[in-house]
Amino acid sequence: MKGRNWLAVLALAACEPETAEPAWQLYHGDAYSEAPADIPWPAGELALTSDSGADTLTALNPLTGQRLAVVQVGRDPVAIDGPHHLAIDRARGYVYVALSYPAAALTPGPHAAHGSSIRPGYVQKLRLNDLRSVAERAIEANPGDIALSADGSTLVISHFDLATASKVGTVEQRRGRLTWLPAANVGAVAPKTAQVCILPHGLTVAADGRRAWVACYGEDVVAAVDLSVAPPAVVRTPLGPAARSDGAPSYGPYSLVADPSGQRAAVGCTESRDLRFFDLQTGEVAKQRWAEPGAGAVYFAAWSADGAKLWVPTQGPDAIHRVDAATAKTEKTRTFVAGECQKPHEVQRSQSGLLLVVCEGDHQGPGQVLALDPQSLQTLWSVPTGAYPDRVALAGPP
Amino acid sequence: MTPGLAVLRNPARAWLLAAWALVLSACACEPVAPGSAMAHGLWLREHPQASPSQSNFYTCSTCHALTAASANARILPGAPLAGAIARPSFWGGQVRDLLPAINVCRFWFMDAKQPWLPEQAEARAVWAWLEVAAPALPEAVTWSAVGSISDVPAGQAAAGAQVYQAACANCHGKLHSGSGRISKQAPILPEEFLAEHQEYSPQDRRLIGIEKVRHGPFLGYGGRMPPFARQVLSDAQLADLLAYLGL
Ligand code: HEC
Ligand code: HEC
Repeated sequence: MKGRNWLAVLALAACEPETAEPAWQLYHGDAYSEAPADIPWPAGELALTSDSGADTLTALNPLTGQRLAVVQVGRDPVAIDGPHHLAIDRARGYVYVALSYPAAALTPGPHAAHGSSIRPGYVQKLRLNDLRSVAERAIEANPGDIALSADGSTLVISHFDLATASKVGTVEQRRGRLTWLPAANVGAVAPKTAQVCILPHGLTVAADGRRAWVACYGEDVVAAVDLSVAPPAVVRTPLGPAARSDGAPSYGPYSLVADPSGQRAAVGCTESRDLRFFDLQTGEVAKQRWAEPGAGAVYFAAWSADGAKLWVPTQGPDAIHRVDAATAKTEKTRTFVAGECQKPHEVQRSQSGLLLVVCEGDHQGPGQVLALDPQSLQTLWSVPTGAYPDRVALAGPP
Repeated sequence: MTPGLAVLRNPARAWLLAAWALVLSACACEPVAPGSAMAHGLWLREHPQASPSQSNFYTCSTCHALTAASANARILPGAPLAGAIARPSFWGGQVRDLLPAINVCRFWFMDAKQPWLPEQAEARAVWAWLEVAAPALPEAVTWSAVGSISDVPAGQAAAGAQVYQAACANCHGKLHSGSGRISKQAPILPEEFLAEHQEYSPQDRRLIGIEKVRHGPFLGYGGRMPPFARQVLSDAQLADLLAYLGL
């Protein structure tokens, strides 16, 4: 039977192609449903990392550290797409990933090296149950951070565009953009954009999607953006008296993480190596800040459920600090020994209260996710991810 | 999916097709069940309308044979399509699913701005013929894009002439004249290529030739020529080809 079928197809292959397109019947059988949903969902939450140097997402059981799946994402079948940061919609079962096309991942020959074309970024909407893309949209180049409003309506992306930032020109000309779009219509609705500040990166969005706040590395400010008016209103608040916009930031705010109540945000500074507090309601920077002599550059911190504590990752030295959010005092520090967690980039707290730390690694080989006890900061488990992970996000249960 | 399942799942239709094949074997030019979805799939395979773009001049068959045997010694950049529905991954593991793998070709080579969606008639028609053309094993095709570009040793022009005929002539036509090329967009080799890259040294031009053949439009090159992986075109064959092209 199979052999004869075969003949039919071969015979047809020899046909003279017709020129005008005839009317066709629709195929009603099962098509393209062959691929099984391949993420075995654990009992509770699911943790995902964006492995920006490997073009994969790694799915983990946050309770046990068991690796559930490593899934190829992106659009380019040859180059690294650079899946960079994730935003999760638990209620509807989607994860949004920004593709950033890192220039360093290219291995061009003399032709590609000649024209330094900048590739646009992309945002893809993936189903959580199997991480398959259901919609995508081209956005500006170099997406930095991506965040979703709690109501699931609005997706906001910052563009960490070094080329724009290092232009010779006015501050205004060197400012990068924010993109926002309705999450329900990623593929169908053209995104809106606004120029906000120099090198916008870590961001958070109001629960209703009408406002966004972004840490601006190149301008030493937090920019508050009202997305509900056109043109969007931008208010920039300097993080301190030494704020600079000339390309050598004093503070270098890189991450911004809102507390669970949405009252205030922890702004991690990589240049001044401290953590500053920004009041999302009043738009003021608190006098009190967390700083520790000899501490490294501050990355994405995690809040406790009651907003009373923070777990702060620092790079160089690579460590994690538990901080009292009211007094900004360090309660405990754990410095990672070599190979334990190179370049901790982000901390997340799982529903069960564990801390998940994503470690970038050396950007060539695998990174890691560590689970730490929130009290003792001792490692409970550690698993490898793909190269250069830069976010760990928690999803579910579905 | 297990091997052969596609056919077993639909034994009635498969049997009918087989019968048609025997009946029509004298003149196979009458399509199976004119107007059927399967005929539609075959039509799409042979027509540039697989992309709505006016500027597309490729068909799926420009780059893919049905089976390795039916390639008739041509060196094709794309894998044989028969059996594709049973494969666990595509594009050397970079693409997980069949329709996205097809849409990659449509986007990068055929200038299609919108992907085919699984419920779309065209996508379903392609499935309809692929489902029948599926005697293969559920194994991925080994394919790995060449990343960094480096030189290859000197080759033999006479052998290169054959490689050119098998791999390049279909699109670029005859050497020096371009006679029979697929489109004016495919440059006459080597003259139009040399004219286009005058500002480079001969050594860099040679490397750019390698880069084009290995990367196609990817990794920052641009254009719509397909990339040739080492699995389909070895470095030795490429070396001969460069000698023939005088690069
Ligand atoms: C200009 C050349 C070109 C055209 C035109 C083209 N392809 Fe491809 N295709 C390729 C290359 C190169 C690959 C990657 C190598 C590979 O895996 O086969 C590929 C990969 C694929 C794959 C994945 C094969 C595998 O097992 O990895 C499928 C399926 C496919 N193409 C189907 C199609 C269909 C259907 C069409 C017509 C709509 C088409 N292609 C048009 C060049 C082309
Ligand atoms: C499926 C069609 C196709 C095949 C097969 C093909 N080419 Fe091309 N080639 C093109 C097209 C179209 C262009 C022009 C657009 C572009 O640069 O991609 C091109 C461009 C080129 C260029 C010029 C690049 C430049 O920047 O000016 C070179 C050199 C080249 N091809 C060499 C080859 C060689 C050698 C082979 C055989 C191994 C080959 N091509 C096979 C379609 C093809």
